[in-house]
Amino acid sequence: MGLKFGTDNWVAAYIETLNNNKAYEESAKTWEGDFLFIIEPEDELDHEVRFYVDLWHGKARNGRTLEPGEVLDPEPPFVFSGKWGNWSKLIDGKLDPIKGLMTRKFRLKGDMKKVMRAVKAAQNLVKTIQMIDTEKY
Amino acid sequence: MIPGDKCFIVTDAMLVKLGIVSMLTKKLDEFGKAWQIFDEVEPDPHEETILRATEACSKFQPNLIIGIGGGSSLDAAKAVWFLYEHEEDKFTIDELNPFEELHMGVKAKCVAIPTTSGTGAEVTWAVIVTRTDVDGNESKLEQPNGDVIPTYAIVDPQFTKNLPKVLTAATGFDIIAHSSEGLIAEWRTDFADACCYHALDLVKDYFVKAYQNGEDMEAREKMANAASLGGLGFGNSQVIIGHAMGHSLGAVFHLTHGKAVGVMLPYILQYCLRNPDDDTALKTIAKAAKKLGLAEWKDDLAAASDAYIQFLNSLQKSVDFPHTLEECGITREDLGKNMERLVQLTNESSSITMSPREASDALIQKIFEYAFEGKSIDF
Repeated sequence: MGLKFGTDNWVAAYIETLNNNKAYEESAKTWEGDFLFIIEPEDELDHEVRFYVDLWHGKARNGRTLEPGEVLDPEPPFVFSGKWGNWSKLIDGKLDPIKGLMTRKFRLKGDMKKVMRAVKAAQNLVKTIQMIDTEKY
Repeated sequence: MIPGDKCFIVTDAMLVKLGIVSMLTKKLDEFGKAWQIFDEVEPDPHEETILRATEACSKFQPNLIIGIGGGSSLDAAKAVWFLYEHEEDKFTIDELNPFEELHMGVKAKCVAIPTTSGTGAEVTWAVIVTRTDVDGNESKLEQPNGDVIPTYAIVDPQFTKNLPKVLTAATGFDIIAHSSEGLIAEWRTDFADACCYHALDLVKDYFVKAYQNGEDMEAREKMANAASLGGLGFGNSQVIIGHAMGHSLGAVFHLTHGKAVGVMLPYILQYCLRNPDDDTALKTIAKAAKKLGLAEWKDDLAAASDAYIQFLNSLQKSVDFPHTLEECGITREDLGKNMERLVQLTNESSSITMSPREASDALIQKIFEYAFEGKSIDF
């Protein structure tokens, strides 16, 4: 049985997996900028799920889920969001995160100049989710 | 007829001098359209050039932007179109990214007229712009967005008739790189495959003919069509590590795009074919070799894919194209001195994310070193 997606235990596993992912570490060695992930309700998911990770030079230093209505101060500079159905495909490896962004299945807010120089890092960041034994909604 | 009565033409000075732009302006005069030319586009256009062109465009207020030239002029026209369309938003080149809807075509439409047969820029979403940082280092920004695919493409081989041999060879290899990389890119589709396969088939039959006799208009036409087909192919499936490495070489050593991606192609294909985790690329290239008649249908995957690599090597010889980075004029010392930056730029390229086989920094470096020496990839 995997960890329930988007719970504190799952986020802890995500951070551990990210910190053991050499491909991510190498591609993100100059990256500075936290990510907020938003999973919008759809189908089996009836509430919004949010979690953030503090990213610094190829490692995740911290992270946790957010309470409903909680506002982070300061706001994370990057926000990656999409509906549950698309997240579900991403978890299963059936949707590439960058392709998902380009086809508007996901949205990314933040400094695009920075993202466009670090597409490989962004892809590895999100694809690491596929390495976790995840229980879906 | 293409609507629009005020045309802003983006091109380079050589095409004006050669009278190629006047083939267009004569037609515009014939149809009573006003026009203004910006002819300062250089190879691998710099951001500053794009901004100067946009300023001129904004003063002229056209409803049609026409790019005529090679990939540099067409990319410049697409970038000018984007900035002009979003003049009020005060957008920069960085806002031209694949993640936003751009709502193009309100103030002007864009026409692309290629005068080389290679880049496919007339049908693709990519815009390549050179940026110089505060330390004077150059990098090639890859700024794709589906909304900047030109509204119209005019593909007419008469514009390529006088293309010099060296450019015919480099742009021809650009088609092969687009189509080969497009066939094995992670985002390949049945439709992209069809375009890539046919582009390669045309190149196999007409590349050397167009190179040997530039006035062979049948060959020129087929190569022009191959370029657009290749563009439609990789424009959907994307390019891979070869373009990431090629763009790095272009930024650091100022190799022309076609030369950079063409010289790297056999090496990056061999690297992808040797993927220990997935044999999809191997199967695809082997099948391409068989379909193109480069290998026998009975050949095994290794023999057939090797025939494809041998075809590329032999084609390089036939059109006097370099096979190694050394033959491109790069010295071992310069390669070593710039290796860290080459690897960094390769990693920063969005194209690398579509590769069928991942590459660490150490492996990217090794591929560059093998390409310098002309050694077959054995890892």
